[in-house]
Amino acid sequence: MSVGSGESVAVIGPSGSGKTTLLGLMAGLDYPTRGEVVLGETCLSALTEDGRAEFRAAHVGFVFQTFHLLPSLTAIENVQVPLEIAPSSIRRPAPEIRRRASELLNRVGLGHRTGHYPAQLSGGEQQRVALARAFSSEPNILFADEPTGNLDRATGSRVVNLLQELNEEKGTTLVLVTHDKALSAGADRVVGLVDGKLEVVR
Amino acid sequence: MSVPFSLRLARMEGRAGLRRVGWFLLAMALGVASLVGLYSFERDAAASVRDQAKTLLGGDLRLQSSSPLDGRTIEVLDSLSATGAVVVRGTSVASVVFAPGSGRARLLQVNAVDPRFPAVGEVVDDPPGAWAGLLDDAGVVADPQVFDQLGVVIGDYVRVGTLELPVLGSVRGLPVDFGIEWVAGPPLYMAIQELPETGLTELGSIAQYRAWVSLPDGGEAEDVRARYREEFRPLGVSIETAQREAEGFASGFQRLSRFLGLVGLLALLLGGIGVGSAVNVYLQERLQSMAVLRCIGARRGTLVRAYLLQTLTLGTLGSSIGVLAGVGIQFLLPQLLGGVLPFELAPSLHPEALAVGWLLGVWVAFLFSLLPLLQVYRVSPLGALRVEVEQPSSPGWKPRISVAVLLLGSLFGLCVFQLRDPGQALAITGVTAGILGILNIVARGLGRGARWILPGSAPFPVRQGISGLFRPGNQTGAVITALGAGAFLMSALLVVEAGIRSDLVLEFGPERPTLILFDIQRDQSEGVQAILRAEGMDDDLISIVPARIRSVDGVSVEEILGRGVRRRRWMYSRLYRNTYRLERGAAEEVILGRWWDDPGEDLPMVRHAAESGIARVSLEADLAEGLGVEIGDRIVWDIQGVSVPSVIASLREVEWSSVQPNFFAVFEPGSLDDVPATFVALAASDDAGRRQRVQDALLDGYPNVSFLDISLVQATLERLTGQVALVFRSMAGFIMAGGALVLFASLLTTRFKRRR
Repeated sequence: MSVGSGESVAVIGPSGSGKTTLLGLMAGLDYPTRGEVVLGETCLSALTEDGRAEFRAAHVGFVFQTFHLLPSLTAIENVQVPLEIAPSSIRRPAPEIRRRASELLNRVGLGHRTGHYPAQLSGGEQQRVALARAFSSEPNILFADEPTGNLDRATGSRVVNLLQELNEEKGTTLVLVTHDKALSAGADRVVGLVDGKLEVVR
Repeated sequence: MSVPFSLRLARMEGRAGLRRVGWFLLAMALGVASLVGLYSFERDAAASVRDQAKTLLGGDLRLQSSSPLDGRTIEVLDSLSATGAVVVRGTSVASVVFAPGSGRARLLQVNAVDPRFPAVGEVVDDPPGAWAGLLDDAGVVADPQVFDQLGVVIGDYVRVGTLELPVLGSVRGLPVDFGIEWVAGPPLYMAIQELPETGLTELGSIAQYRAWVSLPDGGEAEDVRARYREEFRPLGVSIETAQREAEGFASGFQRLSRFLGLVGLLALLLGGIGVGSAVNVYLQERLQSMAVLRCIGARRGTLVRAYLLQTLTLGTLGSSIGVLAGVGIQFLLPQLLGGVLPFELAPSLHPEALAVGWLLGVWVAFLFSLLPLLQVYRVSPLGALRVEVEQPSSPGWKPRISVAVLLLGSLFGLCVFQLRDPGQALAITGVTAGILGILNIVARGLGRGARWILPGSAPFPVRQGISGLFRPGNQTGAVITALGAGAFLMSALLVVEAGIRSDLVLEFGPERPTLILFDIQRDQSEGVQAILRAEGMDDDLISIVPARIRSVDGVSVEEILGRGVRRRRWMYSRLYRNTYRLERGAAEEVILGRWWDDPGEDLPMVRHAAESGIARVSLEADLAEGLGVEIGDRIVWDIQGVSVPSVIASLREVEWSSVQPNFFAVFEPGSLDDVPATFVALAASDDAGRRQRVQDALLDGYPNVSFLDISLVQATLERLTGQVALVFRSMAGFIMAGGALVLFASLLTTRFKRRR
């Protein structure tokens, strides 16, 4: 499977078909037993555990089904995290990190909630913070695992719109795993996973 | 680098979750507090003793002998005087002092001193001028306790020996003789020129003749001691410097403090176990966040640093609280020990003691957090995608063993630091490791056993309650370890305390003596026996023969000491108080050879010696070992100038703590009839009236005979043991509080975890 730069691909399939495994492999969270994963020019299999972490920090963004914000950090602190853990060669100065996080929160419509903790935010708001976090380090590629899975239809559709807008604005490559037809409909390409085998749907 | 992020993360994470660790922190703080308190107290005691060394001893040097100072010693004192030193002389006699007004009599240390006494220090007399009056021969001045004991007020008369003198006032701050004070009671002072009139020294009372020397500036007491020590030894004169006396005291306190410090250290470890357990629960709750951080690019080291920083912050906080509390304990200890301390204790802050306690706390928190922190290193980023399956893999044996080795190594290092004895430290480390291992096995066994025996049909509350023992996130291990280790520490402490107490308590035989009479002269023995018989008391007298060793197997003591005997030199040079008697004492057992009263025959070498008129003697086994002598060897004794040869016929083990008079050397009866001796009587009567009548009769007819009412000594010892017990129980209280805190905090943690 290959995904072109700036392309958006949706991976669909029933539960247990291997969607999350595929995502983990592509994002360099897991090692393949056979074959290799190349992101941009980099072969992930050749990197060490920490080397892959650095690579993810520099080039990869994530959006999770259950948002996965750090509960003890405020909204703006959550958005700042990827910028702060970036390799020192590309890390921005602290004031810029703060300004950028603030801008992104404004962009997702949460400029007034920067100091709130995740527990003080609704599900939709939490996912919007998660979107801001995912885009904060301007990743080349964004992996989204069921980003609307824990949201009601209306909220989910607002989050989908936001994700697509941001993706277009930043020109990010997008790989998303979803059951959500509306979400997959917006992707450039849709692939299906059945019993661990990929097949092109559209 | 990523350290700043680690710091920021530690700060951001910490503010939310550390509150629940607070109780564990407090348990650790208790350990640090006890250590800081003890370390500071030890330094206070050492510093106070050093500062007051001269006052406590009474000068830079003190010379002491049980016979009047001889010509050569006085010559040396005069030469020191000529160089500008202040030399003061005095004589101490333990003697019964009678107050005719109240009718009471007490054994006191009667100190007869010359006008310049003390050579150093300030005399605090009440009323002012009382001390000066004493020096003008006008009466006696006494320790404040004497007034209560004798029932006298200023102006009353007391009878010292055969002389009646008025009490002029009270006095404090004079050199102390602790050995005498604990047995013979508080001191009473009179002018030295009055002493002959009391008749005390002439009639053979046991007296100590002393001289205190205060050297001019720049005089080296240690040099003077080194110059004259060997020369004085055969003269029976000991010479002590303030410095050495102070070191002796300081090392005594150091030993006590080291032992209690060890207990404090183990209490700190108990807190450490609590902290480790809390950190484990805390990290378990954060595994998801860690996986997310790893997923979005955090390196493993970044996370480990962040959580390590939090742990160290915990340790720092706990230690700091502990240090503050420790300073409180330091100021409290002198109050607890009040009365036992023979000197003024001035607490002051000792930065090194605070630093050591603080660092120990941080180190222990770090050590016990290491094992839980290992799982941070192994958190997989996949955990962000799959919560259920991606628990961090177990750290594996290598890191676990490394941490265990580091823990035990540290414990060993800390014990060596505490006790300065690698052997003991190794034993304690081994025992502690063993106990923690057993507790760990018990905790695991309990969890598994509970799961196994829990019947499915049990009512819900029972199932719910018992399943708490093995549920994920249970605190069974921490609670069992805290309780078990706490109980172990407490029992160890109480056993040691009981040991110390039993060392301090006098052991009474079946015939419990209540009145001890001593310094009975040979020509007084019949009269004293008559007094005892008249009151229905046992009239047996025990002889006391002061003697020194002149030679062992034909080699003189001077020659033996000249060969450079290093160990137990005192055995050759001390003054022995021997006895002769037919029967064995109640507190001794012959372990080798034959007692003269026993059936059978002596070994040939003993028999031959005895037949040629050499006295048979039975030696205490440890003394014989120290002198390197065996049965059949010969010792020549110097008994007030007379040579008395003896052959060793038997060796005995002696229960020294018994109230029965015990002796290093016992001669066969008849062998010492012609040498100077005094006698002791142990009288037993529960009737205070009879005891009083004996005392009155002795005061009238034999004023030199001293007597000791055992009930008073018992009271003193009970006060002393009571204070020792208080210190030990306070430490036990600390451990109990630490254990209780760990228990309480463990329960809170599990409750919180279940609420989630």
